Amino acid sequence: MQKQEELVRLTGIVKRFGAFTANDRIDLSVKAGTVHAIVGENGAGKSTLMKILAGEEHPDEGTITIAGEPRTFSSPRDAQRAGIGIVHQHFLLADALSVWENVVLADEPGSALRLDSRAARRSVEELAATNGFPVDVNAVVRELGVGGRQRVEILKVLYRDARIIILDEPTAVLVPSEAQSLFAAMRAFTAEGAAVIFISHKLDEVLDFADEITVIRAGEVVGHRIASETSAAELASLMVKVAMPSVSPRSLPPGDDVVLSADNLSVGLDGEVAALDDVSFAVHSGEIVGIAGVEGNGQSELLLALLGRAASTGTVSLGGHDISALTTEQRRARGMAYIPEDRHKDGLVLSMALRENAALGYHSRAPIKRGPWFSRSGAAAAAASIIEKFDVRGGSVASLASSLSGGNQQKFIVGRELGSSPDVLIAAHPTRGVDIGAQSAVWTELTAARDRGLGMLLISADLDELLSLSDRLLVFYKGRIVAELLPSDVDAQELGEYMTGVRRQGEAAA
Amino acid sequence: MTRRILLTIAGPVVSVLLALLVTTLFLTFGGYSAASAYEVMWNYGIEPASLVSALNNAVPLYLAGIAAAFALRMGLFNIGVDGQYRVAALAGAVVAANLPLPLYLRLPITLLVCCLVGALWALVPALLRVYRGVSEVITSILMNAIATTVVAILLANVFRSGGGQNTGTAIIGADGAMPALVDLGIGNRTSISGFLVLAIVVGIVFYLIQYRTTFGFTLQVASKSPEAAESAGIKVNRRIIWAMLGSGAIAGLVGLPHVLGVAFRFDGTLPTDLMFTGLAAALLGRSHPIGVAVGAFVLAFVERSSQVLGLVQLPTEVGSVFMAVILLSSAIGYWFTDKADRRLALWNAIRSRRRAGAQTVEASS
Repeated sequence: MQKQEELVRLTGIVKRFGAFTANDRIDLSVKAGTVHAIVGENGAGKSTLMKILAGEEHPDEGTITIAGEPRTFSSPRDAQRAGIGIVHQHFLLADALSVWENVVLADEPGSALRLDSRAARRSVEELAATNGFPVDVNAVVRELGVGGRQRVEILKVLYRDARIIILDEPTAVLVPSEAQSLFAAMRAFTAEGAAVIFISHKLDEVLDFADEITVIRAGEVVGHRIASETSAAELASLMVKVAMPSVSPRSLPPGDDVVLSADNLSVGLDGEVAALDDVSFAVHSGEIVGIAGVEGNGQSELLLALLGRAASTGTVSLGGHDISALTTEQRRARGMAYIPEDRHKDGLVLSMALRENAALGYHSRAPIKRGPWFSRSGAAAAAASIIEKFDVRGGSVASLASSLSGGNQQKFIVGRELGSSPDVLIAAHPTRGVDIGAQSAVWTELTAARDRGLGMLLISADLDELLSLSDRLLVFYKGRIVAELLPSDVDAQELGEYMTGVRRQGEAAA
Repeated sequence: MTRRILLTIAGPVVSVLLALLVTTLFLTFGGYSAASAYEVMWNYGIEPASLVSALNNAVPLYLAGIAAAFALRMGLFNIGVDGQYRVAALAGAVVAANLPLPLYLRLPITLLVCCLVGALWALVPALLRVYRGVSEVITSILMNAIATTVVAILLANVFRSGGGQNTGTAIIGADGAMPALVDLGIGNRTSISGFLVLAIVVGIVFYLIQYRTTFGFTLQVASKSPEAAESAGIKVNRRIIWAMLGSGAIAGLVGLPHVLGVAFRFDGTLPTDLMFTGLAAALLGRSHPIGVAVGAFVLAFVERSSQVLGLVQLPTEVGSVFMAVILLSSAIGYWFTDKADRRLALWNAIRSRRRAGAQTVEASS
C-alpha cells in the first residue's frame, strides 16, 4: 500500500450565481493514488465545484490547496500548470483537426513560429501507447465515435502531465464495454500516484470503481463515505432529500379516456445509444402522470418527441388520433400545451414584452391572429388576463419578460399554457427555481386544471412535487421506463433508488 | 415612451456627429478649411436641383436598405443584395424593353420579374444556410461574384443589342420606362422619379409585414430565440428561407431606378455601390422603415453635395470618407447609446431603491 499523500484540499468553497448559491462551504480532500467519486443529483453543484478546481470559475470564498501548497487560479491555464486536467461531459474538441493536433493544441512543441509536427505526432503516439489507448493519432476527430473522442480528451489532459484528473460524468455517453475500459485506464493512472476525481450519479459504478465517495446535495456536502463501507441505498438516501410531501387527496377520480399516448417511442441517432428507448404509456383525462428520473435519462428527448421537435420513431396519439406526422404548430393547435424545462431557453423570449410572450405558441389562432395580422390588442388582453388570473407580479403587459423574477416568469408561462384550456399539458419542472409561494400557486392551478379534465404529463426533478401531484409515476432510467408506481406505495427514498438504477421493479431493496 | 424615441434618434445623431468629426479631422490634417468646405457643400446641397437629385438618388439606397433590413430583422446579414440587384436589373431591362404590352401592364410585370429574380438569387444562400449550415454572409458574397460573371456573359452573348461599341441591352422606350412623378420645373433636371412612389409602397409593405403580421412576429421570435420559436411551433428554418426570399425580392428592385429612369437600358453605368450605401442607411435607421428613409436621404444628400468640392479645389473624397465613417460609426453609435441607456436605467433603479429604502427607514423610526 502506497503512502496516501493528500493531493487536493478544498476548504469552505462558496460559489454564488446571483441569488443562487451553487456551492455552499464545500470541503473536499482527495488523496494521491485514489479514485474519488462525487455524486449528487443534477444541479447539486458538482460541475461547478469541478470548474472551480479546474480554474474555470473563481470561488467567492474558500481556499484551494494542491499538494500542500495554497493556490489561486485565475485561468484554466494556472490549474493546468498545477497539474489539474479536466475532461468535460461535453467534449471540447476541434472536429476538423486530427487527433494529435487536438492533443497538442495550445501547447505545441517547436518554436513560436513553427509547429514541430513530427515531434508532436510521436509524443502523442507514445502517450497513447503507454496508456493503452487504441487511438489512431492521424484520424480526424470528426470521424471518431463518442468513446474515441473521450480518449482524445483524456490524452489532452495526460499530455499536460496532469496528476489530478477530473472526469465530469464520463460514462454518461459510453456503452458499458467502453465504460469498463475507461475504468481500467483510471486504475492505471492512480497506480502511478495520480488522483482521479469523477462525477457521476450512477451509484453502481461509483461503488464498483471509486475508493472514496463524497455526496453533494443542493450545494452542500452531505456525506463522505468509503466505497467499501457503504451501500447504494445509503448513498441514494443521502442524494435525495427525504421529506414526506403534503398530499392533498383528490376529490374526483381520473377519467377513462386516453388523451395522450405514446407507443414504442424512441429517439436516437443510428449507431448511438438511444436516448429514449422504446417507451409506451398513456395519460387519461383528469390524470397526472409523473415521470421520475435523474436528468439525462431520456426525459428531454421525450418532451421534444411529444412536442414534435425531435425526430422519433413510434407513435404519439392525442385524443385517440395519431399525431406522429404533425408539426409542433399543428399539435399545439389540437390542444397540446407545453411548459418547457428551461423557461429562459424556450419558454419566454426575454427581450420581448409580456404582450408578445403571451402570443408565443398561440400566434396562429384567434384572438392573437386576425387574418394575416398580429393583433396587439388581442395579445395585450391575453397577457393582462394571465397577469391577473395567475397573480404575476412586477410587470405590466408592456414590460420585458426579463424584468420579472423567476417565479413570476414561471407563473406567466403556466398561465399562458393553461389559458388556452388545453386537453393535454406536458409540464417539465413547472416549479423549478421558484419560491414556496409561487410553487403552491402553480400547484393549485395545475390541480384545478386536472379537476377540469386536463390530462397532464409531469416531468420533475423534485420528488416531493412528483409524489404530491401524480396519480401514477413512471420511472425513467437510461431512456426506458423501469418502473410504474403509485405515489401512495412509495416514498422519496425508494423512488430515488429506482431512479438511480439501484432497484428494479419486482425486486426487494438491496 | 419619450425615452424610446430619444434613444432611437440618439443613435443616428451620434453616428452622424462622429462622421462629421472624422471628416473634419481628415480635411484639417489635409490642410483644408473644414468650415468653408461644409459651407460650400451645404449651399450647393440645398439648391432645388440638388435636393431633387438627392431625393431621386435616395430611392435605390432606400430600397437596398430595406432589403438588408428585411433580413436583418431575422438576424441574417444579406450581403448579397449587390448580386441580387444586378442580376434582377438585367432581367428587368430585358423585360421592359421587349414585352409587347402597354405600360400599365409592362411596368408591374417588370417589377414582379425583378422581385422574382432577386428572390431566386437570394434563395441559394438561404438553402445552403438551412441545409448545409453555411453562413449566409459567405455564400451571398460568393453569389455576388457569380452574378458579376453571369451578367457579363449574358450581356455579351445573349442580350446585347446591336454590334460594335454597344455594350448594353436594347433601349427601353416610353412604353417600358418609369414615368416621372412630377416635374417641379425649377431649373435643370428637377423631375421627381415615379420610383419615389414605389419606395414609399415598399416601405409601407415592409412595415406591415414586419411589424403588423403574425409572420413578422414569428420572424422576431425566431431571430431572438430560435429555441422558444421551435417550442412555440415556429419553424426557424422556414423563417430563414422566407426572410432571405423577402430580402432578395426587395433587392431585385434596387437597380431599376437606374435602368428604367436614367440609362433606359442595362449597361456598364449601373452603380455598383448601392448595397453598401444602402446597408449604411439600414444601420443608421436601425432597420425601421422611417429611420432607413432618413438615413438614405442623408447619405444621398452628402453624396450629392460633396460633388461640388472639386470645383473649389477641395477633395471630393470627403463624401466617401463621410459615408465610410457612417458605416462604422452607426455600429459604434448604437453601442454607445445602448450603453448610456443601460447606465441611465441602472442609476434610476438605484435612486428609486434608495428613495424606497429611505422611506422604510423613516417609516420604521
